[in-house]
This record gives sequence, C-alpha cells and structure tokens, in this order.
Amino acid sequence: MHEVSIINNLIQRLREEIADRDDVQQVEVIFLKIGEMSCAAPSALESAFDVVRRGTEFESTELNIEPVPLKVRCQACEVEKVIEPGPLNCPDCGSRKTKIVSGDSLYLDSIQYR
Amino acid sequence: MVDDAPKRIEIQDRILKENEELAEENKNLYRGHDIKGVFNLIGSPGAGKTSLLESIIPRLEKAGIIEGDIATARDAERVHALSVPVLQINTMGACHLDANMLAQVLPDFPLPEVNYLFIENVGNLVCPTGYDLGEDHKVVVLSLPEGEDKAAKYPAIFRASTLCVLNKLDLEPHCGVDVELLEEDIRDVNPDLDICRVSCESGQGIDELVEKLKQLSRR
Repeated sequence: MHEVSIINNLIQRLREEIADRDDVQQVEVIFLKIGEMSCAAPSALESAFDVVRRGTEFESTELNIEPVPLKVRCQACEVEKVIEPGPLNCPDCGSRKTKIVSGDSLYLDSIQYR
Repeated sequence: MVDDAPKRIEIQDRILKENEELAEENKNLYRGHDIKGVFNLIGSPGAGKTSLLESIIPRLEKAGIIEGDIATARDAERVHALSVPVLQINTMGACHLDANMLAQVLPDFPLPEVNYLFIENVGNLVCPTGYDLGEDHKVVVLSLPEGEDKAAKYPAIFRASTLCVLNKLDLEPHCGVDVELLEEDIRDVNPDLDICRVSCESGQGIDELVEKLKQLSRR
C-alpha cells in the first residue's frame, strides 16, 4: 500500500507546478494515467487521495484516473499487443523478446483549473 | 465580464519525478566515492534477505549495508556481527524505501570505506519496485516456499531486476515447488534476468552468487 506516498508526491508536485502561476484559483480536476503494471491500483489511489486532500487546497478537487493497459512490442513478429500483466511473452508467437511500450508508469497528465 | 471557463495545464510527466531526481543525486554520490556496486535487495518478508547478507558479506572485500525496515533495528543488530559499516533506516510505517530516505542518511554512512553497498529494502514484492534509490542493480530475492507463481503474479519487480536469487533451495523436496518450472515462469517475465539458486542454510550456490555480484560491479 504505497498509494498514500504516491498521492503525497503528487500533491507536492502540483504545488510546485502552480506555485508561480497566479491565474490558478482552484484546481478542479487532476488527470492521471496509471499503468496496469505500475504497481499502483486506481481504487487505492482514489482512497488515498480522499484522505490526503482533507484540509488542503485540493479538498474539492476531483481525481480522474485513466487506466493505461499494458502494451508490449514483440521484437520477433514486430506486432504491438495489449496483454494482461503476468508473463510478458508475445501473445501471438510466444517469443520472450518483448519490449514494454506502455502501461508500466505513473503519469501526471494535466490539471483543469479556474 | 471575467472569463470563468475552466482551463488546462498539460504537465505530462512522471508523478515520482522528484524521487527519480533524488535517486540520480544518490547515484552520483555512490559513483563519486568509487563504489563498485550498489545493490537494492527486494523480496517478501522472510524470503531470506538478511540471511543472504550474512552469507555473502564475509566473502566480499569491503562491503557495507543499509537496512530498511518499518520498525525495529533487529536486522541491523543481526548484521552488526559481520563487522562492516551498517546503518538502519526505519520507515515509520512506509512499505518501501525511497530516494529521499537514503539521501537523508548517506552523509552519515562511511561511503569511502566500501566497495559494495547492499540496501536491504522493506520486505515487500510490490511497493519498492517503483522507487529508484540510485542503485546499480535491483536484486529480487525469492524463496522456494513462496511458490512457483510469484514472477507471473508480481511481474514488475522481476522485469525491473537484473539478478534473481532463488533462496532456500534446501527446502525444494519439502515445499512441492519445481525449480525448473519456477525459472521458466521467471524467464517468461524477464528472459534477461540472471538467476542464482542458493541455500543460505547449506551454503549451496553462495560462491557462484558472490562471483555474479562481482561481475555486475565495476572493476
């Protein structure tokens, strides 16, 4: 359960981002892209955000999480495929030589503000 | 009239960017002191990470240990008997070490005295994966009684590591785990992962593991 740490990092990151912008009155929505193999669960991030935001300037901010499926590129058949996290072989040819294209990272995409 | 329509700031960056920047600073510190290899040991509670340190440290010239635990200094007390520099970090509840925790204690650690630095992370196969500490290599420690299916269930750490230590090999006849199948599963997640089979109990495979750690280090 390291989602609280991630949310703390996120809030710190946002504060730095908006520190020198005097046009930001209120952050309305935070948009995240969370990879399915990023070791963080969207529901746990939401619960953590619910707790951490209390008493902060993000109290009425909404968290919008877009899950990013795990996608690998097979170096043998050169096809990109979405797979379930687990064995990372190519689902077509079975080759183990795959590269992760997306779905393994925690990404702060954008914020909506007034 | 004031324009009150919502606006957007596109950030498009990693949430844990600050940790990655601090990890880079830690890495520069290790390199600045000419440390040959920095290893981040990650595994479940009870996988045998501390026992592994007790087995390998006496066979390496000038090693040091940083112990990460949620509470107590028990691991640090255990490895203190090895007479090498040891420092304990208590995470006060956190399930992983992060680069900042390391940055806080590294000034108190005698870095010039060590060739090899081992950081024993909090026992956990998930959370430490995303937090780079500035190490050269992540080493995932898995013990046979944990079962054959761990690589498939926890792919991120097996994909992120350069070395996998399969510990408690002496228990193979007792825990119904087929080591060949286990390794096949691991290779489906990461075909480039080096795998060392060891038993801290019997000493089997420890020499080979020490050789591998030296190979992974800078000359």
